[in-house]
Amino acid sequence: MAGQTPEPPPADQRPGSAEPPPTDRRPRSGRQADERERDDQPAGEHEHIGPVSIERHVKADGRALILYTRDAPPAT
Amino acid sequence: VTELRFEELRGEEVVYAIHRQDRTFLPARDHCPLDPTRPGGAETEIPFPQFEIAVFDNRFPAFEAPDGAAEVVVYTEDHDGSFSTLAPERADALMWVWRHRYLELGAREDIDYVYIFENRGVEVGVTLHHPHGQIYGYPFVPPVAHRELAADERLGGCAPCALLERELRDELRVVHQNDSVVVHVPYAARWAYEAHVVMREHRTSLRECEPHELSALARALQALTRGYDALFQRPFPYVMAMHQAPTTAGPPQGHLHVEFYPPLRTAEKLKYLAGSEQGAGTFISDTLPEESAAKLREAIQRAA
Repeated sequence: MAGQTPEPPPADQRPGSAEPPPTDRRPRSGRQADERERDDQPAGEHEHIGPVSIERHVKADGRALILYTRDAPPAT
Repeated sequence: VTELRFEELRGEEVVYAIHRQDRTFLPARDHCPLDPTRPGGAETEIPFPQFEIAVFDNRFPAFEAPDGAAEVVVYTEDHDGSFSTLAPERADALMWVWRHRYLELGAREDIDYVYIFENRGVEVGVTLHHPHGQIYGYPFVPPVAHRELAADERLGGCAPCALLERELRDELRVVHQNDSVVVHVPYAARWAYEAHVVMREHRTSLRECEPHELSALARALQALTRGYDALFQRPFPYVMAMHQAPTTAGPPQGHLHVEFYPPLRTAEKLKYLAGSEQGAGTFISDTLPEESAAKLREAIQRAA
């Protein structure tokens, strides 16, 4: 991101978007993505993580909204 | 649009998010944007009449795709609650929500560090009273995370593991513990009632925690925050900061722990970051961690 070039970016360009990555920003191997696939199995519209169900929405202005609901305890 | 500028003298990024100047500021009780949307009422950030836990993209983000993320985590639809007053099962669920956000945001190419935090109280700049926290997905590894990783190198292994061993040996600053989590005032606490909530086992992030450890973490966090409220018999302001492994490639580094920075040094007096803290980077404290720990331990026991 920033920090590599002292010159301001062109006015029509998002700040920092064309700058080279800093030296401490390591390339990714997809590790986290792999873990996500293993841990958090999407099942169509009914995603689940641990004891919590996940319901995804998109707000009217395009922002994401996620509702999390704890599963009801099993009936005894 | 957010702009990053690198401050060369301190070697750190500064984030310019000038659109945040106009963000909602302490709205009236009946105009809370984090309440559920009541039938016939104005639409809030959560357009549903009820919910348990909600996460949404911040309307006034410090970071946003494709250069990071800023999310709001609403703990409950109860406007007058707090993290400390959540039912235990809700606090448990929140741990899973945080874990899910860490995984999902951490999987993104544009996010190098997932930072879960809560600002509580106007003393630390809260603009909405409804119980909530935030998550920033930084497009870089921020300085505090860098310093903690540098401490690992300096101490020749996991620094939080080594420090926890010392705290358990000394016992003086431990204020609460359970099977999986230890809460202590750190040996070199900067804030009068600073506390660290540390996993006993080496877990780099919530992802590595077993379900019982997530529950234990929730219990410990609630014990501490209830103790804080009991300490001076008033809602206790704090900044809560969850430190986890950066989400860059490679083996995960770090040790999951949650740090609390309360600005109160007495029931009425605030600690300010002034000349020494801001200009020299050196905290001057007028309380001893061991004495604060004794008071906080007693408050936690009283609130249990």
